Amino acid sequence: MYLQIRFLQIKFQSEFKSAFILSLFITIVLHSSLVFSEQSLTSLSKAQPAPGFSLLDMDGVKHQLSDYKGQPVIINFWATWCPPCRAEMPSMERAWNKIKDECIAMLAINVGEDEDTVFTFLGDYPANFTILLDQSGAVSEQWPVRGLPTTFIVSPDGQIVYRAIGGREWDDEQLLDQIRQIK
Amino acid sequence: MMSAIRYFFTLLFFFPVLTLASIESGLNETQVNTLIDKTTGLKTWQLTQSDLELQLVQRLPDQTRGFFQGRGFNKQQANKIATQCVFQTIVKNTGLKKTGKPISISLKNWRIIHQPLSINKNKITQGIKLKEDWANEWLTIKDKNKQVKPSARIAFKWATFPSEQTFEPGGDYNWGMISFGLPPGAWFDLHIFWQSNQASEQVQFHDQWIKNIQCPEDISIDNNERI
Repeated sequence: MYLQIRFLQIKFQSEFKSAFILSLFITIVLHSSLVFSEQSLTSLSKAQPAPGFSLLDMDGVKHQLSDYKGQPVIINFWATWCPPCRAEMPSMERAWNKIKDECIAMLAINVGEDEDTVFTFLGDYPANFTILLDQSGAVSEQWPVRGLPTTFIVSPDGQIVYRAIGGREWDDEQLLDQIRQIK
Repeated sequence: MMSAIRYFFTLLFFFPVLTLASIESGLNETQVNTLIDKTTGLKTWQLTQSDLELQLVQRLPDQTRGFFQGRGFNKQQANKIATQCVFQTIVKNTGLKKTGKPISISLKNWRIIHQPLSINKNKITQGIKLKEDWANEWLTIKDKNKQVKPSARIAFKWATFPSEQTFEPGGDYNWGMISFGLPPGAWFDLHIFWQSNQASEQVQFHDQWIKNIQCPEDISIDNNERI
């Protein structure tokens, strides 16, 4: 009888211990995935008109914001020396491959650097979306940019509706869905 | 069968308890850690409190000289910035989109307390040398040969941390250099202030100290000696 009770005690203790360890593991995994993987855009409480611009791309072709009227536009301000800008560049390329046929535009505006610097950078970080050059920094001054990278989502009617300060994993489906919904 | 049911209920009991415990500890715990990069030997001071994560990473004056000389500053101008205790600063709002609050930082409110190198002097309290302070300093230069080029000013503006910025929950963060206006090798305590929910009626004011921060020594990378 004693042995039987002792056996049950030991069995219960080991079940208790393994259940605790499993719960701890699940909690850590869930908590860390919530904290570290959240990729979202901040919705502006009051949409504001996107300042217009006219900038050259790497091939010397002029692009104006008004050229993209009628479709959502992702506008990213970046520089080659900025570590989070470099970190998010591959995910922007992956995102572009997902959305390029969905009538969504992606423009990455380089702030304050020359064509040669950007060209060299693109050798290491290939980008098939449009790269624009704001060498004088005049366009970046007109947008509410405080640090790099900063990304804005412009609605088809030309209003800034979302903002992201700092880098994101742009190919995250939830994040892309936020953009798709404004079409 | 009984054993499996018992196991399931034990699991069911522990899961919410541990989840609450982890959320609670994340909300209240303040941590200030000092980390040392094994390769470079440079130190990082990291503060974590509520949803704020702040990192101050030492930058060798040589790194800063190289960065700014490569972006249009002449040797003297780059050296002046590099020897003002420059740290790479990273601020992140780690709060979740649904439950977190915006965090606002104004570097104008931050205070440094340091002991000047001459032994008999008292401790001094001062503010941070902001990017606007640098820009104003350059405006007063009359000699055209000594003026800072526009391209260099643009690089400085974007490479330095904004004096005021709000970080939304759900992934906002920023990187940038802060110059503390102290000589290489100086030690200081930093009093940091920030607000959560600044734009609402439930605004909360926070502050925290990071003590014994050291400005990086002016070590030449070539010969590993102090300059």
